[in-house]
This record gives sequence, structure tokens and C-alpha cells, in this order.
Amino acid sequence: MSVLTGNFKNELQKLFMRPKYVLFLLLELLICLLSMFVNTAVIKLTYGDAAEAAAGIPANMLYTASLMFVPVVVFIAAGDMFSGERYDYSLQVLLVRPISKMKIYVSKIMALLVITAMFLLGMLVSSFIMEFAVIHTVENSLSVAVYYALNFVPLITVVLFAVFINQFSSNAGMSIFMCTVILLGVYALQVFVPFAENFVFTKYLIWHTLWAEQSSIIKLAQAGIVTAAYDIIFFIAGYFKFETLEI
Amino acid sequence: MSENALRVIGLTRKYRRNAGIFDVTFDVEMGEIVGIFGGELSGKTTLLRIIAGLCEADSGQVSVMGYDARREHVLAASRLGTVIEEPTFYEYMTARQNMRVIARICRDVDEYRIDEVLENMGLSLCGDDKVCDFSPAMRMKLAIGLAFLTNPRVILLDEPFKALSDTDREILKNTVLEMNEEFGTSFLITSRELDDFDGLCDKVGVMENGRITAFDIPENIAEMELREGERLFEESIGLRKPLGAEEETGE
Repeated sequence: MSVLTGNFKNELQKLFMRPKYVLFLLLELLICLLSMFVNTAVIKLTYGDAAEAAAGIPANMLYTASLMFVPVVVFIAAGDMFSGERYDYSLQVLLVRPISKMKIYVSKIMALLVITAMFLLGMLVSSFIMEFAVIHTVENSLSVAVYYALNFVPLITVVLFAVFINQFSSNAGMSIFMCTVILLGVYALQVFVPFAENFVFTKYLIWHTLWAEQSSIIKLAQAGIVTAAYDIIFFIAGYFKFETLEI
Repeated sequence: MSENALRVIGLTRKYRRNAGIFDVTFDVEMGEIVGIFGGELSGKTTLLRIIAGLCEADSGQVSVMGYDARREHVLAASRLGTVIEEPTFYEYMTARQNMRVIARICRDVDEYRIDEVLENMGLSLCGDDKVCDFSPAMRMKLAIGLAFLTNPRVILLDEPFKALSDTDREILKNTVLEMNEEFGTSFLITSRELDDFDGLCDKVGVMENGRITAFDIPENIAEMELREGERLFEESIGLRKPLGAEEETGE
């Protein structure tokens, strides 16, 4: 086993040993349930078909997952892995071992990506369960699953953003707060200053819509380049801070 | 000429208010046990933190088994075992799981070795207990066990005797001596008590205000400290003028 793989396993073990992530998975199911009740109530009030509400759940929940739920889980996990380990000095355990800081940094990011994929998958499965419970079938399951998979790509930027912000504080709570406030601030900026939308890293968080609308290759390539550029910036800036930090 | 297990040359790290370490130079030869004796804030922990790669020196150089501790961190760290300050672990894991974390990133550590170290440190019965439930003495034993786990060539122990009972101190001293004799492991151990080095160290350095003020065999250091104690006692009861006052009178 290589050092990188070994530490990747360590980081995953550390995350999965915390019961809060199991609770967050249950919370996903609860959010889907609540969303379905609200949708059904609204549709009943407007004399629509209740089954319609359930049929749209998986696609609707992708917005909730990509824009808010998964980013918040990522912020909490990044807080545990970076700021939290600096706060309780447990990062020392690795820093005095024969593993480079780059490998520690990369293995932590890899574990965060697994958490991100896991929670996207969790939302997909939860919403499918809800849909099946109401209309006894799952409509457009393949295309919805592909959209969930596509939305994993822009969430990589959110992971790297969270890792970067975590280098500025040794308090996990403060890091989570900073990440959340900045994310909400960027969303607000997108609403109130439409021109700024072109420059923010959250622009393509729901980029499955680009694929759903069958946008041109140029538009898709542009989205990919912007996302990759932010990934590179956050990765390098975050590593620079991580490399120079002292515990 | 004997090879150096650890070489510290002109190490300086300055903090605010004149704290830090200044131009620290010494060698630990292969198979040697060296003690660093000094009071609180004398710079012992800063010295060990720099050697372990946890912080950087403003100037100077550290090499472990010939490898530069900063530029060749991975090679140096693979030959180094470290216990610094209050031992840190993954509190929500068991002692065994903490050891497995290290095993995954270090070669030559298997379950058999983990069992062996737990047994040697007297932790085999509580190997599957969570570390957050450990007493300070058990935590120190686990930290030392983790440092021994990879059979390193050089081991740094920062005030390892502090939390231990007299019996545990003797056990630790014997373990250190056994490792030294069996594997030729070199040790750099710090303490605030000179007595801790009795029958253990080949050389002792005295650290005051971030500087190594003496570096000699334990007997000479003990004698020097005894004379210093006598001088302070005589000054306190008025038999002798303080050092600074004598100089002023002389002037």
C-alpha cells in the first residue's frame, strides 16, 4: 500500500468514525420527505395531481443537494479534517511521520471528495425512495442519475474552496461559519449583481441544467474551464498555506 | 570518527520577548542517549519541535542519520520517533486503531508488531479502549509506544517522565536502555529533573534561556548543578554576594 493510499484510508476512517455523518445521511432522507409533503400540499391546494409532486422529487432535490446541503456537509467535514485537527493538535500525529505535507493534503481532499459523492448518492437514493413510495415507480431514473453524477464535478470546486478557507483558522466552528457566510454572500452577489455571476465559483454548481438544455459545446467547455481554473487556484493557494503552517 | 545519529548546528528560532532558541549546537552519536535538562520556557520543546519538523528554524541545520530534517523530511522522519509536549492522538479511536493509522503510512509495521508494542508498554489489556478514557500515564505510555512502533534509529522524548509514577519511570528507563542496547537506538530526552537522567544518559546538555550552557557527562553536570545550588543558597542567606553585585563592586 502506498503512503498516499494508506493515509487516504486513514482520513476516510476518521470521517466515518464520527456518528454525525450517519445523522446527516438520515437528514437527507428527512429533507426529501419534507420536500415531498410540501410539494404535495401545494399541488393539492392548486387542484393538481399529487403524483406530479412526487415524480419531480429527484430532480428538484438535486438543486437542494448541490446548492446547499452537500456544500454544508463538505464545510463540516473540511472543518473536522483541517481546522479541527489543528485545534486539537492531532495533525501532529501525521506531521512527524514519513509522509510529505502534499500527500497529507491530497489524501484529505480525496476523502472529502468521497464524502461529497456519498452525500450526492444519498440524496439520489432518498429521493428515489420517496418517489417510489408515492407513485410506485421511478421516472427517468437514468437521466436523473446522470445529472447527479454531472453535478459532482462543480462540487469539487466547493471542496477545494472549503479546504482553502480552513487554512485560515484553527477553529472548526469558525471555518464552517466563514465558508457558509462566503457561500451565501456569493449567492446574494449573483442575485443582486447579475454581472458578477460570470466571475463567481458557484456559477456552475447546477451545471446539469447546461446539459439538460443541450447547450453548445463552447458553452460546456467554457463552464469546464472556469470550474477547472477555480479548482487550480483553490488547490494551490490552499496548499501554500498548509505547507507553511506550524502546529 | 563516529557517525552522528542526530546533528544540530547553530539552530536559532526567535519568538517575541527574547524567547526561543539561539545558536544551539550539539551532536547525538550513534547509540548514544543524550538528555537535555532545563526549566520551564528554556527552549527544550522548541528544539525538539524543530528537529521533528513541526516548526522551522530561522537559521541553522538539523540532520537525522545524515538526512536534512527540513529538505529531506520524509527520509529523516522515517528514522525518527517522536513524543512532543502533551501527547496527541485521535481521541475517538482505540489505542490499537491509533497504531494502525501509523501502520498504514509506515512500512514494516504489522498487527504482530502492534501487539508487541502494546504488550511492551503494558497496554495490551486496554488496546481496544478509546484513548479519551486513558489516564495521563497511559497516554504517555501510548505516545512512547507509537514512537517505538517503527523501530526508528533516533527517538525524541519530550519530558516523558512528567506524568509517570516512580514504577512507570523505571519501566520506561529500562525500555529505553533495552532498545538502546538491542537495536542501537539513539535517544534525545528532555526533562526538568536532573535525577531523571541518572543511570540513563551518556551525556547531558543544560539549556537556559534558549541556549545550551553546558554539555558534558552526567556526573560533571550534576556536580556543576550542585555547585550552582550551593552558590544560590549562600547568596540567599547572605554568605555570598550575588554574582552581579560582585562584578559591580569589582568595577
